Amino acid sequence: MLLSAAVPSLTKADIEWRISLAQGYALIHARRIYDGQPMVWPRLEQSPLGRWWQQIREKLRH
Amino acid sequence: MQDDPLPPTLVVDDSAAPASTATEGKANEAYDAVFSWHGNQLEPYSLMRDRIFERLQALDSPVPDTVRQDCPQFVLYDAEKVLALCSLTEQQLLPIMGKPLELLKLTQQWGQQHIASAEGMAAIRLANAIIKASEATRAIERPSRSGSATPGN
Repeated sequence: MLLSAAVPSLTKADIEWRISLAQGYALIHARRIYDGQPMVWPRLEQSPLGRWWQQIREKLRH
Repeated sequence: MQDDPLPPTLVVDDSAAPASTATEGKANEAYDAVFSWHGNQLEPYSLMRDRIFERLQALDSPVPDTVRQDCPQFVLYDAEKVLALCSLTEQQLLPIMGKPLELLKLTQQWGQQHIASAEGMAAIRLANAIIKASEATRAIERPSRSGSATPGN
């Protein structure tokens, strides 16, 4: 549904079989950015703020 | 007289941009990634292949994820499924979509025919790369300042 909304020209078969998940997520990501929605990477190690938080947690652990 | 349309607003996450380059580089690589096994280009790891993979994994339950990830036999068993699903075309998979046991047999046959015993590690590495690439571009909406996270993609 999200991918179909992001790229209306894609067919059901394209979405289900011919577009990789990586491409699908990227297209949804791009659509949301165009719509003005700020996005973040979900895993801590993927973003500067997340890495900073991981470092703090490591320091507190020792 | 007609007014000029307002220019589109471009939202850029400035605070995160410079240090996110590594993540974005991986995302770019994942977007363009094309995988092959024995010189044959694999089909994209698509939504339906991911669903079939999950369905096949469900047949093995109950096996906790921690056991599955630490046991080499299970890792190879899963890798075989990923590579088999990416080797088969939608025309080959569609007729048996609703028959999980036939799908499982098909992936196992493929594994026996195409993965030699010495190639186990290579198969696991490739399957891991495929799964990692499929997650590398997945971003979520930034949680709101009030603390309630909005659903991601």
